[in-house]
Formats: sequence, C-alpha cells, structure tokens
Amino acid sequence: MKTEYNITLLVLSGLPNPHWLLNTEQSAEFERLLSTLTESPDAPARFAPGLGYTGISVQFIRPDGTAADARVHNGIVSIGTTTLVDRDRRLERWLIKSGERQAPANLLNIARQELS
Amino acid sequence: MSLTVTLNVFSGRPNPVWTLDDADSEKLLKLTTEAGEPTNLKSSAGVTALGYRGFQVTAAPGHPAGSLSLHAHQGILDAGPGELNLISESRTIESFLLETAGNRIDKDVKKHIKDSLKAKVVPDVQKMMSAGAAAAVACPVCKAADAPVYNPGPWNTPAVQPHNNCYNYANDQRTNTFAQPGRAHNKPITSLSCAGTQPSAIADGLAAVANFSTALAAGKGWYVALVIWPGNDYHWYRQDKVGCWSHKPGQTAARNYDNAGVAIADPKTCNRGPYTAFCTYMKTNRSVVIR
Repeated sequence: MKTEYNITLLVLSGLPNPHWLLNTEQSAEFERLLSTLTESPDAPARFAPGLGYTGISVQFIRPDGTAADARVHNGIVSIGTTTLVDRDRRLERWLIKSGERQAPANLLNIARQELS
Repeated sequence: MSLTVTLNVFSGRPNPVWTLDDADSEKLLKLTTEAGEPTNLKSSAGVTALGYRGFQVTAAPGHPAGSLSLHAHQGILDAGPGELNLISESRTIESFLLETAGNRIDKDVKKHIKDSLKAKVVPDVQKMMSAGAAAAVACPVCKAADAPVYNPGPWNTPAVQPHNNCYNYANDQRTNTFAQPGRAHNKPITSLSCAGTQPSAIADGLAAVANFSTALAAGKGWYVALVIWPGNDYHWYRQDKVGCWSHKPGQTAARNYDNAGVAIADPKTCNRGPYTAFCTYMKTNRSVVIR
C-alpha cells in the first residue's frame, strides 16, 4: 500500500468543497513535484480572506492510517511547521489540473482565474 | 484514546516523544477551545534553526477527536493548513504540555523551554496586524435578546470545524453534517440564487425580515443574513451579541471580520469577495431544525 492523497479545492462556503483522490500515476507525479520544492527562508504572516478560492488542501493518508495535511496556495506550501516555496505556483496549477475529470469545471476555472 | 506529543527541541538527537493519557488528552483538547484570539500569524518554528521549536500533538484519524495535528509554539496554536491559528500571551498549552513531559526530559532542557515560555509572544505591532484583530468599526446595537456571543473557540476545533459550515454557524447549531438549507424538511435548494435558496431556509423555520433594527425579545431568536455567489454557492452571516456580525466560511474557521480583514457592521455592505448578491436579512431561533 502507498500513501493516498485526498485533494480538496477550498472555494465554497455553504456547499461542500469538491474533492478527489490522486490516482497512482498522479500520486507519483505529486511526490516528485513536492520533492523539488525548497524550504522557505521566511514564513511571513498571511491574511486568509475566507470567502472565494483560498487554495488547495492535500490530505496525506499513510498506509499505517495516520494522516497529515498540506495547504497549497499563492506560492506557499505549508506542511505542519514546514513552509515550502512553490515557485510560479507550479504545484498549485498541477493540483488544479489533477481535478479536471472529477471536480466541476466552473470551480476549477475560478481557481485558475485567481492564478492568472 | 490518547494523543502523541513530540517536543521539537533537538537537532542531532531524536526529539522526545510521549503519549498523553486519556485525562490529559481531554484536558488538552479543552484547552484548545480556549486557546486565545484568532490570528494569521505563524510561529517561527519552521525557520528557527536550533533550540525549542514547540510541541507537536498528533492523533490517528480514528481518534474520537478526529485526525489531529496541532503545533503549539510562541503562544500560537496552529491546527494545520486551512485552519485559523489562535494566539495567546499566556502560553497555557505549551506550559501544560511541558508539565506532561514529566521526567522524560532532563532539567536543563526543561529550563531552556521554561525560559523560552517567558518570552513575549509577538511584538504588539505584529499583533495589531493580525487578522484576528479585525480593524475596528462601530458595531450597531444588537436588538436580539437571544443573539449568540461571539465565541469561535468551540467551532474551530479539529472535531467540529470541518463538519460545520456557514449555515450551522449562523443558526448556532453544530450538527456535524455540513448543514444545507431545507435538507431537514425535504426542501432542497433549487438554484444558487436568492430565489432558489431562501425558500429552503424558510422551510427550516427561518423568516425574512427587512432589517436588523427591530427588537427581538427573548425566545424570538436573532438576525442572520443570506448572500449568494451567483451560480456557485451561498453564504450566511449572523449578528452577535456585541452588535457586529461574524461568519464561518465553509470548513474554515469562524471569524468576525470580512474579506478585507475589517469587522462587520453590516453584511450588506462588508467585503464579501465573490458573494456579490445580498439576498436578505432573516431571523432564526433555537427551534429551527437544520441538518
């Protein structure tokens, strides 16, 4: 068994947010992309507006049942106390694309608009 | 079921790890509901190279409190990505966790941490800039005797926050069902518009009102407001006892400021991001049933 990655697009308030699992191929690519990120020399305080697209949550579900969460938004990847730099928001773009067949296109487009 | 604590303090040696018994686990979870004010500040643990860098508390997904990953450092309680951090000068959680270490850490290390805990949490200027310190506005007078007190703590815990949305919060009911207007009364939303959503809320027992300036006696409920992101979603605000309004955007933390970080005197005029359509003020009460 391998780690599963449950992706949630953080965009809605009243309705449930769309979420999907990465398939095996996507999981491998996610791990590769994550491994290329470097730790941030600075971890500035950030304002989270709350309404509208506010990033992507990645839940890691390990084979032993334990879980961890990462938040990807605006060039920053936060995993626990670690902050990584997502240059050009490459990982965030890739995660949005990974939901193309599983999440509503209008919501993915809202996230894409925020990135453009 | 117990929680696992890791003290982040060493570089070369493995960090001390221990398990809280049931009583201490419960006490810790209770402390997290009283952990302070919301803030957008993060502790410097991720960038501090050596020495005390805080406590990590984890629980497996099967834990009664839900999957949990808390980090306490510099007076800031960080429940993970997507969660609103809490800040407190008292550093109660860190002090409590240090006590639970018992003799698992030697006295020099304990002294180092105790000295660290005496440090000021964050400079005042940073605290002023934090999102939790919502920019001041004059709050209107609350005319509803039953209006809830603004107390986001119980909403912003790992066991509650992801399972309750803006509709739960506005109605002050933690159903853990991500409640939907009309679902409890077989009257689902027909479209993501005011006309498609408001009837579902009415079926649950809410009632539209013209404003929030009419007195509501005890037992008559409090004011809420419905807004729409046309075609995509709906959102709710509620007026608290203090007179200003608060809300809980989806699975994120409850808060008392708008999308610009400003306290909310009126949801009709506050910064609502993409929720551009203001539908109506409504009143709700303790008899309303949502699911």
